Amino acid sequence: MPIHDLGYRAWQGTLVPELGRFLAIAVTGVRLAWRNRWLRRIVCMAWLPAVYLSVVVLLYEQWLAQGGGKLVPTGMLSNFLLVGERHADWSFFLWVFFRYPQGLLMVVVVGMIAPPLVSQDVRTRAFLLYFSRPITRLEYLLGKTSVVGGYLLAITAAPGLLMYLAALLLSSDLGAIGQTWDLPLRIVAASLVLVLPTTALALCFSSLTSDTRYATFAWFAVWAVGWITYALLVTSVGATASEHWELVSLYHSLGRVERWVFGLERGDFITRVLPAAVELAVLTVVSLAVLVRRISSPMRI
Amino acid sequence: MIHLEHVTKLYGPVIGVNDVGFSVPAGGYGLLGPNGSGKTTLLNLIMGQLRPTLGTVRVLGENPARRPAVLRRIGYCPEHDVPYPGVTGFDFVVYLLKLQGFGGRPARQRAERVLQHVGMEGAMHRPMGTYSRGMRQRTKLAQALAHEPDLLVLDEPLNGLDPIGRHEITELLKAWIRSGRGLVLASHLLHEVEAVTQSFLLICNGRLLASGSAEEVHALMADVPNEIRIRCDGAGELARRLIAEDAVASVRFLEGELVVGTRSPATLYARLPGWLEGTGIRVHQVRSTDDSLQALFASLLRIHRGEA
Amino acid sequence: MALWSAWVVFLFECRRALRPGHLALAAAMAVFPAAVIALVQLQGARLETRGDHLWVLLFFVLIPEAVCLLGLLLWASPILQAEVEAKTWTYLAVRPGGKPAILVGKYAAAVVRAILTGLAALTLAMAVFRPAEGALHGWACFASLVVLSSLAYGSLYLFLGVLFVRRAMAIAVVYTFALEFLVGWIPAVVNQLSVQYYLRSLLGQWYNLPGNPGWLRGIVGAAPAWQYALTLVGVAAALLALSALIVRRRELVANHGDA
Repeated sequence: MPIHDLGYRAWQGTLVPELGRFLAIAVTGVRLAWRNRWLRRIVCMAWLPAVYLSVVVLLYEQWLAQGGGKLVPTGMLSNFLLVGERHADWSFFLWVFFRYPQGLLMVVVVGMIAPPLVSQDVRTRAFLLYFSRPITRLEYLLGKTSVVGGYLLAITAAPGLLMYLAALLLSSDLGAIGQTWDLPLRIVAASLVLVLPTTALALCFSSLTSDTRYATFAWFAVWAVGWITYALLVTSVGATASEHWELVSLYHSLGRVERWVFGLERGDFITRVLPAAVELAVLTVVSLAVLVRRISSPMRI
Repeated sequence: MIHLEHVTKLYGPVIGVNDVGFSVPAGGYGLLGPNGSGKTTLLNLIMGQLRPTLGTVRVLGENPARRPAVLRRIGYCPEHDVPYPGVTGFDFVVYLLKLQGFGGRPARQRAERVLQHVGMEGAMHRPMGTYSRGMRQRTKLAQALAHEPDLLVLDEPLNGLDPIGRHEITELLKAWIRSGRGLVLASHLLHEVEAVTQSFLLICNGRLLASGSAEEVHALMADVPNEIRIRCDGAGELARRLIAEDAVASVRFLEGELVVGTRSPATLYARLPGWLEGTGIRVHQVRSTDDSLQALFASLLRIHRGEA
Repeated sequence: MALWSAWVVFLFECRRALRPGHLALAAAMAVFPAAVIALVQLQGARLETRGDHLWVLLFFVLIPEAVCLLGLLLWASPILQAEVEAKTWTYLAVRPGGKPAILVGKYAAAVVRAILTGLAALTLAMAVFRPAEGALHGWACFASLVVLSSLAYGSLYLFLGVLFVRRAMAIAVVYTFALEFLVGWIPAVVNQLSVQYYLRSLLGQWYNLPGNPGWLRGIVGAAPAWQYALTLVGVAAALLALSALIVRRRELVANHGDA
């Protein structure tokens, strides 16, 4: 009887294309983070503002259908006028959605997910496992940023787009589609404005330490210190005089750029929006550069 | 010294240990089991770090979960690594000695002595983050020994040690047992434990499967289906002889050796000299290929399930 | 034995806090209020001459609130989380002094660090602000607030860290925002659930804020100062005791995080 000695055989099947390999890291990271029940609760809760604001849009549409007229809201909304023009007012509702509930939830969600992503790999020497595979640093980076980006899009773009869809369905006439066709693109743009610098910064902090709590602290401290500084300046000096100090607060810089994305910024682009945009861009680039450098440096075993 | 009675520990729906009971006086005991068998859970119960869901645990006459004062008499070396990479080994051991109740000077003296005893005299004043695996292991052992407890509980203490280190620590532990104090040594490697003590507790899937001496363990293993490799001249002739024997289940040739499968290796060992007599076949080596804990536990589990 | 253990842990943690990185972080926190005060003054705001005692508000927000809170967020809330993640808890917990003593020692170290950082921040901020009068009184008032704030928030964060071992810092942030900065400013009885209410009320009592203006009603109390101070100390002691009780029963083993 012949004995068939096939010897070693290389894998003949189809391998995942190189471009898709980072997804393995991303999907695993998303699954691991999803195990945290508090995160699950927060992500589910993050859709409630979209529901609430959809109801507000419904009431607004009813008001619009009955003739409209100027509304002069007081308090927090006193800086803004509901002008009775659908595109402007829907943009305002979307901006409020991104600015207040999602802006704050973003800080909490990223603070829960991002700090251990790279720091734990450093502490447990999982780097050795990752880079003993045919995975490049870039794929590792893409995978990790996709984890954070994925969750952020799940609490910003996804509910935002759903809110827009709900608004369309709750609007009083089909003309709303023609008047607001650009809003989904603005939603995506605003989400990217929120996601890119925050993800880069959070992962940068995570890469700088092997102790998760320092990365978590740095993340929350950046927001707290910036916000407090700007708030105290406004209180002491007045809003107008302290406007250029908005840049010390990441939260306010994001708000400024988001306002421009939704077409609500009335001031001069060069003096009001560009500094904040440049700040966010520089922050993103520097954070990514530090992150890449940290994950590229040889590990001490 | 250690008394467990109908101890069960549940982590939600997961069983950590299941109705474990034993009572051991002073002396050395090896707690043997494969990974995930419940060894560390059992040790944590003994150390009072876990409370049993059912049953009672008594160590040195006290419930360690309720009376932490008894921990003064127990030294514990956990499986995981030493902490505080920025702290020196000396400072770490002094810190833990102070937590045992020793004052500053006695703690420093004891720390120096015990670190020298485990072979860390050259490195004790370096930060632990610069230590090799073996040095960290020795420091872990030092912190368990430093306060001269009555009972030593060690979880995989020889992990990461080189052969010389293993020998030194093994001798240290043997001397410890000879001094009349208690030792529980958890490991998944039979030969590691066997080198220190001749009394075993065998745990698997959270159940205490067997306890006893080394002879009793080997006797159990003697009946485990086994493969034996024989390196000899005239392997073909020996194979012809062996095939006719009831004790032999299979014979094959592998890399110049004869691999004999048998369901009763004890019988085969006993009869092999008789089969060889008068044949002129020279046997250079006889060894078992799976004289291992895995085979032992498989056998014990079959017994417990009533399959053997 | 328990007291001795707590003392040993306290000393060890204090010694670890003297490492360069930790000192740099504390220094950065201490400099932050002075930097903000300097910024405000650079913008031309005259903090002292404004009738509404703006500088009192600034000092209150910056020092006993921001600096102490940030410090305790880092040093108090992840006390257990850090030990469990690094698998160091076992080495400490198997000691005769008991687990509560370890916790008390770490709490004391965290509070002392927060107090010292707060006092350093206060001193620097005073040096930058340079009040024309009442500097000593101001320093004494805010120093007391720093101490009380550290004790109360320290025990609160420790309690949250014991309850939610894995996400201690994030939960502490959410708590602080929701209860201290939202609910704590509602002009109703509910704001008395916040530590900030008592600190604000003490500030109002000690600093004799002029005329008790209408906007303060409901968010600043009128009871004697000793009552608020005693409440804060009492809350700190109660939460510390509760945390010790919980950690005594809690099963924190490295293989399982918490069992």
